[in-house]
Amino acid sequence: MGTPTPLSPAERAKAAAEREATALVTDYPLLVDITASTRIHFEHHSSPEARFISESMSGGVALIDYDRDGWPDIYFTNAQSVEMALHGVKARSALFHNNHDGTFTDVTDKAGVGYPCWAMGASVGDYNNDGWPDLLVTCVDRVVLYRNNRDGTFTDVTKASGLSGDTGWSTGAAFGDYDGDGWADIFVSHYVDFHLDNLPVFGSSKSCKYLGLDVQCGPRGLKGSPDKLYHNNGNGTFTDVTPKSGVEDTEGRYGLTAIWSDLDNDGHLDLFVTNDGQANYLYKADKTGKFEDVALLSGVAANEDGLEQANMGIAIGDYLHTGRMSLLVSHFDNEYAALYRNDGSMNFTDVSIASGIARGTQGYVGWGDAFVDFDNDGWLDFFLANGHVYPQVDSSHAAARFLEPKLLFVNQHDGTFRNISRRDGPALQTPQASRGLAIGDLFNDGKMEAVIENLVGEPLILRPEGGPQNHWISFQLAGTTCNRLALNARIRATAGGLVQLGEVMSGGSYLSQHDLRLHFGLGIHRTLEKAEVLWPDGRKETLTNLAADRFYVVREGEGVVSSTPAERPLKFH
Amino acid sequence: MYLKPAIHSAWLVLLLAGSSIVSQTSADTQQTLAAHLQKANSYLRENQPKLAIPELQAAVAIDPDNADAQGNLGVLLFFQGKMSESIPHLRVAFERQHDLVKIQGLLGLAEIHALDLEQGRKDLAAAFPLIGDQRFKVQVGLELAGLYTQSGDLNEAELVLTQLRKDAPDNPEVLYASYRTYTDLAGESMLTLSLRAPDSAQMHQLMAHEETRLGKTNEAIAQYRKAIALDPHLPGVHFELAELLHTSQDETVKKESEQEYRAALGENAQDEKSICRLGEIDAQKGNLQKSFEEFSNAVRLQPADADAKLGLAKTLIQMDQVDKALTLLEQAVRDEPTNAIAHYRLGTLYRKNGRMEDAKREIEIYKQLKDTKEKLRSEYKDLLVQPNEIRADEKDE
Repeated sequence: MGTPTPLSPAERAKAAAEREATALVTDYPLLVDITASTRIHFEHHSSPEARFISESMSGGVALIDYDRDGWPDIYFTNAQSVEMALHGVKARSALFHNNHDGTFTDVTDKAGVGYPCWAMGASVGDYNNDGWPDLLVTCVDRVVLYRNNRDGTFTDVTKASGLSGDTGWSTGAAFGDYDGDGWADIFVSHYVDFHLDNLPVFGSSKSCKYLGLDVQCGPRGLKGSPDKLYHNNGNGTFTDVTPKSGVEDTEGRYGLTAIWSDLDNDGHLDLFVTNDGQANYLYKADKTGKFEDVALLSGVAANEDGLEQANMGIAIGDYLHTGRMSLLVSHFDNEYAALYRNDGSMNFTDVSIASGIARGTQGYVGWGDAFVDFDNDGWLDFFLANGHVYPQVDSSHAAARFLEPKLLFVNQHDGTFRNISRRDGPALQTPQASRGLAIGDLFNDGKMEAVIENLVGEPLILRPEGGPQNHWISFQLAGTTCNRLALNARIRATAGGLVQLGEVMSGGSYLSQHDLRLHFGLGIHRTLEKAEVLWPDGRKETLTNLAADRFYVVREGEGVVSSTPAERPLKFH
Repeated sequence: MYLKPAIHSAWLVLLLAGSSIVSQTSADTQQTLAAHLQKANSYLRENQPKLAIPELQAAVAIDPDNADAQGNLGVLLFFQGKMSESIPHLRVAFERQHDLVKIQGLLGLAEIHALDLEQGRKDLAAAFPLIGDQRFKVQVGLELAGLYTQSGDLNEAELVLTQLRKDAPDNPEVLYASYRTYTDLAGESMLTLSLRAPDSAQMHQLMAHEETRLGKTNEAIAQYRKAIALDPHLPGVHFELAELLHTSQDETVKKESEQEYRAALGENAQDEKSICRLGEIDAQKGNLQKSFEEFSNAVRLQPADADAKLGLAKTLIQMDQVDKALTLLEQAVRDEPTNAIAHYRLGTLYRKNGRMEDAKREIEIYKQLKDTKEKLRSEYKDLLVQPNEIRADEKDE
């Protein structure tokens, strides 16, 4: 043995940079994989070659407190392969009940939600205003509306509700009371016109090639399927109001995700829809329940150069504390996640580069995404689940790989983010083909977990452990005259210098549903000085001096009706 | 060669109107000559050129030096398809009156038709730069370019076509002839290079171009690398390779473009295009100050480059210096009105400044330019698609 060859200065610098880039963070919780200890066993069906586009797009996950016990339960959607579908074999979606002890129990069969369809994603709303969350599942060939029977079971009311005419490939759906009548309406985005009896042939044309490899066809080259808006009639049925409302998707763009929010703070719900490889829609509402697409003029249709991108998932949040909801859209690997800063009056600026999001996300195929405050410092960070579309990339000489890591960016409070993806524990670096992402406080202890559904294999549940011991507060809002789940109600939360905005939202991320409760990190503050609640019907309530680290239930017109402390943190192994 | 018959009246009117030559002949002969010319005039006014021809033949038999009569007769015979017969008359007319460049052009065309290629080319080449009638100039120019191409004189053909593209930039015949000539030139050069210097750096650079054209990116990159290995100072080679690397879908490959742009700058510190690309790369890395300096340098080097101004404006926007960016973008769309991205960016800045009408106008221009580009791309793609690909696409949909 001889003396090792000394490293050159360049090599030493590179090694030092690598050490720095991968050194664990000390000022932020580590995201730890707790999937095994939750006893959740669920496997999303996958096709090794993913020869058809339907085999790459599914995997939405929903957090739904279906039994109203105050603990979020989890619904994983599942999709069969084309081969299975051709043989009439179905894929089993699954509902897991939260046992309040860190574990979950599969209650799918009892609940009756195992086989809704060839499922893509799910969103939560209360379509009949009974105060119990219902479930809408989007599918390759339909939508399925499950009514919550209040006894742990659901009934498929798709036909009775008038939604059975929707036979397109539905993707991201969102409940929202766009006309302010107190009943949650439904917008359903649609993807491509896909039929088992007319399957696009793998690798057969230019739109079925990637890096010179034969891959599945689409969405380019395939016909699109138009979006739908259903008005809630208040009697358990819906009416298709797409053409007259102004959201008619005449071009049949490849819609993926939708979110309702009053983006210009004018008191009317607007609608943002991502389209894969095509311009997004931003439907601005007028006072008469009609919409106008202002995406191009507002700056959210395309990237900063007006180039349309593969728009997938949506994260929405007031990451700058301006009182305005900004948008962050996940994209394909030759693009980057686009952060559209909301400058007010329907003006958005693509600040992806200046914020640091662009350089951290380029090279990954992003899907489910969310603004989330894992460290409870009162500033929204950004989390992104990734995974390539084509398994074939693994056989190329390119850097792209089918399984990809997750990404985490910490808010620097100045409009920029710090990429700590490689410094926040090994779980984030586990390569997976992730799709859906839902964020929520699964164990009612003030820590926000991330539930990730993977296209291949089991899901991943990440829990923040360690880091600063910051305070937090959580609200569950209940409407009385507005829609009962208080969708799109907002809270402006003030604690010291922190002034945050939160909004209850259906849908979002990628085909997924976050916890409907509003969670605010409070940093060092033990008290929330003021919570201004803006209900969707325009009513305002102000709550003051609320103790931190508690869960509050606020009913419209009645203020706080209950308050419970945080559960003792569970130990996961 | 084909000239539309309807043209001929214009030629004749011109010639007859200018008729004033008086020969030294007897009074009777002059009266007879006048009578023939008068009759020819009448027939032509009645649009009966066939009847006018014998009258003009009789006239030139009496007065062979009558340039007008010779010219008219030549023109009539030419448009009757009697090219060979028209030649002596056209020649006499031109020799008697050298400013009749259109007659010389017609003469050249007739000579080509009569297979007197050498004389025909001489006449066409002499007439071409002097002809003022745009339509006829295109006819003469195309014929001349064709003759040069046939004889392998591609450089002369290229000179003619360059002039034609200035005179008739939208003429499909001219555009096709240009495309064809340049293709021939390229093919000829490639063949010669492959014979004379098959292992040269230039040959590999050329092959890289060909592979790129065929969409074979990896093969093209390999050819560029071979070219660089043979001659790292080959003009343009680093920038061309960098451009190819920069457009790669593979992120690792894409990152390699930076060092090639830097190598290009090492060869030519004034390479403004490479400077712009490095400005883009630095902006994407978040090195905004560096990006600003690079784009500023590019604008200084090429003040009329809209892309350099656009790049600088984009960096300034990232630096929250919107007012400066707006001025630059206004200049960029003036410099290059078809730059869709500059219009889009300008529209977004107008919108931020509350100038909604200006914003709408710019976004509308952007949409029009984008739609046009997509339509062209689609049409071009349709033209290039092979039958089996068409069938495959049909299956997909």
